[in-house]
Amino acid sequence: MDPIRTLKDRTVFIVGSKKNAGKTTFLNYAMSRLRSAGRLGALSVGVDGETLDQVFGSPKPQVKALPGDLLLCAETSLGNADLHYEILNVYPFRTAIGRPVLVRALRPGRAEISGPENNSQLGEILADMRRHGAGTVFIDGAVDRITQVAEGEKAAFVYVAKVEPENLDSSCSAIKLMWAANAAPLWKAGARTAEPVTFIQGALTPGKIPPKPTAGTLVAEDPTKIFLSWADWQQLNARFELRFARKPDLAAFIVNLYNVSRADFERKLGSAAPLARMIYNPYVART
Amino acid sequence: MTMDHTRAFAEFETFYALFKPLTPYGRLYREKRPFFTDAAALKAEYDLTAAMGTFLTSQKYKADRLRFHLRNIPALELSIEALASTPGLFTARKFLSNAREVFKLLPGPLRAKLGAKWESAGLLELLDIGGRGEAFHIADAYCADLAAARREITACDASMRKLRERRLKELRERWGLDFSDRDFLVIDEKAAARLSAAPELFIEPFDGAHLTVKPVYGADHMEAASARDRLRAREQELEAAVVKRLAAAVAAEKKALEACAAAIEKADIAAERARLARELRLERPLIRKYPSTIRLAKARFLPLELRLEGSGLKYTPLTAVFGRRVNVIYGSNMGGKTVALKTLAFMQLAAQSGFFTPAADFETCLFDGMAFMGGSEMETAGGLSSFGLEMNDFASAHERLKSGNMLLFMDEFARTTNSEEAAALLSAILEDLEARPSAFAFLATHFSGLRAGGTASFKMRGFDTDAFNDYFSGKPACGLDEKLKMINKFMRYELREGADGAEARDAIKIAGILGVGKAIIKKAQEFMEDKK
Repeated sequence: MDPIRTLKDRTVFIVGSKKNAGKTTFLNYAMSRLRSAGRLGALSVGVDGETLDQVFGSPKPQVKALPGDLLLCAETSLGNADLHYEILNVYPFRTAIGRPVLVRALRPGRAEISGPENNSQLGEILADMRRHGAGTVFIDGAVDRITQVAEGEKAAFVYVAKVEPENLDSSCSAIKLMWAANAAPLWKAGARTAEPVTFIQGALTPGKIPPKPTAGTLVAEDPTKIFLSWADWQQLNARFELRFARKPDLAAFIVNLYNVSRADFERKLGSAAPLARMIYNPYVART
Repeated sequence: MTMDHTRAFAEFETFYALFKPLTPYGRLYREKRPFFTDAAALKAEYDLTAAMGTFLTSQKYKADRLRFHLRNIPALELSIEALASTPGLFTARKFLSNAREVFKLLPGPLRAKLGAKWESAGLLELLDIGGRGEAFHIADAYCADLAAARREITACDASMRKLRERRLKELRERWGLDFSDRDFLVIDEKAAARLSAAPELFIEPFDGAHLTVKPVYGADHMEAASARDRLRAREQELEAAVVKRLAAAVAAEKKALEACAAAIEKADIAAERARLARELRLERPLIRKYPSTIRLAKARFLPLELRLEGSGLKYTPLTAVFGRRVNVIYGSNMGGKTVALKTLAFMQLAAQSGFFTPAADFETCLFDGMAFMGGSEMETAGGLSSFGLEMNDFASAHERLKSGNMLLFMDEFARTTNSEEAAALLSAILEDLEARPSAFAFLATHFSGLRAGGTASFKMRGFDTDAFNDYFSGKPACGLDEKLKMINKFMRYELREGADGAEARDAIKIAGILGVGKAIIKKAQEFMEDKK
């Protein structure tokens, strides 16, 4: 099944392997693909300092809106937006770039999307977008916000990776790790698992791995909070039964290859399993 | 600081955290933590709470709608800078729409009490031109030129779309390039060689082996795009002029809007106090002229009641009459002296903060301030020991007696010094306070032998030894929970007048229940016998 179509009516986090991985470009692509399937919403979260789009190195692309699209924009950026809109809400949260404003496009245009500063604000905005009819809501960025909305929303995430010769190894490791983590089961209290059960709060980093000979079950928060190398993950997997407290759906890998052939990338990846959810450079001509 | 100490001692925040006004105005009021010292002002607050309570309980549907509209009221900034933008005007309209609904829902007499007058119908009508449900925009109807500019933009968009569609069709048919859903395509360099001469494509490098290809829509499209840019700039100018006009109209009603906000704040606070009164079974206190008898009937110290409820323990409300200004409460360890003081402090804080109180009856008078001294909450600070801090706090509170009536709470005051000196100091303090008409004081202590001729003495009834012996024989308590339940079961948290300074004798029993070894308990009891 087309992974993009599976995003319909969900809250979709678009997270990147690194800054300028091409998330906003993908966002525009996905919005265009799904627009016929219902009303769309878009916002961003997390101040990542990205100012240029990777694809062209040009100023960060704005989101293309068609009538009916819901966008969250900063009060200060609305004046510069090429958008005729109606305001649906002005949130009282003060951010460095003014209050977030929820708008509905009244004719085709473009605007820079913005976001709230914390998860309770994000929850309020998502609820507002749904109330105003948004089916699929795209959230550009900030992997750390996924977990909080994952419980109440039908959250999914799309992992956008920019793969170049200099990061081929690390990109493949990251994708394999993300895939393997996504395959680990959900933790269910009361379920029979190996003892002892160790819970990891926050990001799972090498420093948080329990020292040997501890084994049993290791419960991490969610697959997006694994900050280990592929080798570390494999060792961990050999020692523990791994579980996650929450698991947003991994909907797709968007792999933008730069000076790396698809064959070389797949050879390096060495695993066919993730390929089922992989979309290579969605902008490559289908000639 | 004094009030903060008292609030902390009375665990007032546990209750105050339940006070959740719905509007930004109510929330600001909440942060101010008002403490009413004026009887008329406090009566007005109580009257509003009572009237709002009656309305809310009799009109459930309207009560829900009232809460809905209060929750939707935004904070309205009335400076021209804040208003002169579409978000500023959206906020003004949202404020007015919801305020109008709130006022409509309230019965006339209550509206009058709140000072709620609806005087902005014309302004809201003006803003509603750009409104559709909750939404607001700078509508065409505000300006004929704006409408015309937008029509031209729409026409321009349509012609540009046609040009783009035509070009994309050509590119698909001629070069097999499908730009559906994409502004650009990435093409293998070799495959792109055939495109190099295509004037309808813009080509640039993507990586070492690929090129980026974008459609070039042609001169007609470029011309249309330029025209559209000019029209968009014109549209923005016209929108700015409309925004300026509307902002000026809102600013012109600043006084009416401020009055409206003040009424909204009052309605919000009264509704929230009424909600708490209903949910927590609070009753209107009776405020007398200072100094008056303080009377409590079935007064519930809410923070403790909630805690005990959670642990399945019984809570005993406090009933007492304090007819004199200076009062000493004696009692056992864990006998409820501190809780009695906390109950009093809590009730007085709630009453003077404008709330109804958790008691069948609470009769009191108003104080200019409250102060708490002593107890385990005190920590050493600034080089002072806990004794030093207590004395320092007492000196400050004592100083304040010169400028107003103070309600003082002293819990195990001076407990950290030797009992002989402590008793002497306490006796002197009680005598001093008795002589000062501005002092109303409660002192809880387990010291006996205080010379306090003019003060009223009370004693917590304490541990019910007979009932305990009947029950406890051969039943050892296990965990701390069970031990606390045991103490709770047999401790009689009742206040009796006329304790006569008698010392409580329950400490050894309590120590036994809490797990001190039987041999030690037995020896202690023998020592007590010897002393007798």
